[in-house]
Amino acid sequence: MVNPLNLQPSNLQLLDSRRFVQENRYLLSLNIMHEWALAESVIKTIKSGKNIKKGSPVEVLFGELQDIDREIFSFALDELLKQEPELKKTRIKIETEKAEFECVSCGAKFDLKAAVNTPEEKENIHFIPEMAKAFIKCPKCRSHDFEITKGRGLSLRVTGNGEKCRKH
Amino acid sequence: MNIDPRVSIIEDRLESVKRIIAVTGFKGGIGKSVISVSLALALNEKGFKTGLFDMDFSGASGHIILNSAGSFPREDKGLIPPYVHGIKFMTAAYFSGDRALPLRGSSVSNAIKELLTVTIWDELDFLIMDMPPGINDTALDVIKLVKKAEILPVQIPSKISEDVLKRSIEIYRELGIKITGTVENMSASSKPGFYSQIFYDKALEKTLGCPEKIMKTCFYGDVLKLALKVSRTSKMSKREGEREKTRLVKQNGDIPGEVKK
Repeated sequence: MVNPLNLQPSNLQLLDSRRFVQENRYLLSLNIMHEWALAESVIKTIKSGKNIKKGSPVEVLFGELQDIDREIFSFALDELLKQEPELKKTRIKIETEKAEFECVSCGAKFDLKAAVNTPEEKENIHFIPEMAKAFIKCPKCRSHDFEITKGRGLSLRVTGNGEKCRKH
Repeated sequence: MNIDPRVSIIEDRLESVKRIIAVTGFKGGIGKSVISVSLALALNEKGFKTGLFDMDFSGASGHIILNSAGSFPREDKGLIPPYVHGIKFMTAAYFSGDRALPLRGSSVSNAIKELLTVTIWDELDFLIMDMPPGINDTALDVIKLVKKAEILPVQIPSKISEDVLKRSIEIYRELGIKITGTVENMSASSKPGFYSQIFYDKALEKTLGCPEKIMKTCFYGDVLKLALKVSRTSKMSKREGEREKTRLVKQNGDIPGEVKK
């Protein structure tokens, strides 16, 4: 990849490093985030043709709980698709699914807003969504025993009609 | 129809791992985790590139035995397990910290798939999987997702442990899973019929959390013998096997087993 930030030592010296990292988080993290590994699994699944008819439009569903970085994931998909000429025409649409939980103990239904997390906890849930069981409690009965009924993590959906899918 | 894309990539992630050994046992508290950690340390000591994956998400203990505090995976197109005492070590404890992790079956499966999908092990001679007790979701997922896994069952000198192991092993046999050999832990006397025996060592408990001290125990001496036996019981071709045997004999002389018993 070309140097998108035109990073020269003289430029770097002038920058306030913390602000620099914050403002360019996306560009700095393009090649290092673990979203890449998840994007690889999407490409591998589409390429395998298992359960997905070649050329069918595909919808990638992001679960709100895992909080996958959409920009980084899209970049990874683009880069990986470039290496797969046979998937050139594949249309991929990205959608986010709201997270929903249901307490096994008291039956209460709640969403992510009801579950307050620190940034560190959110980061751990980002890597393994099931870590939510360690950090989130039912707002009604304080139980950790709940089901993630919707919006856990990454999944694929083959859409019947390609017309609604824009080219990723 | 919803499709889980993660399962498609898991075999690729483990492609460069030559052998995967799932240290399993069918009762709790029989020493699976200490054997797993020590086996990984022993294989690493003998020059094999070794990884250790604590698969017991709710009862993770490898990080305590290894004392991996301060380590965390690095992100580089996935999660790169940190080296802890020379071993590439992955555990859910990095993410759950000091919290308890109450997981039902489907959550266990999901967490296993997630970590198998994003963990980049790269080249390894051995990946040791420290399994939770019993044939449960973890064991069934490993059977389903990690085709080249072989199992190393552990039992202790107890009728209950022995009986449960016999029944469970039958299931693995029926499924065609390779069984490396049964290890008796906490042995009191030499008995025939075991692949390996590890004798009870009352000094072991105090060394947990300090790998340097573990590696000086009689227990570790027995695990070292086990490691060499495991490394010789190889899936490698005959020629590769002979080469490896020569390498090991050159490196170690005969099996070093006479460690302060």
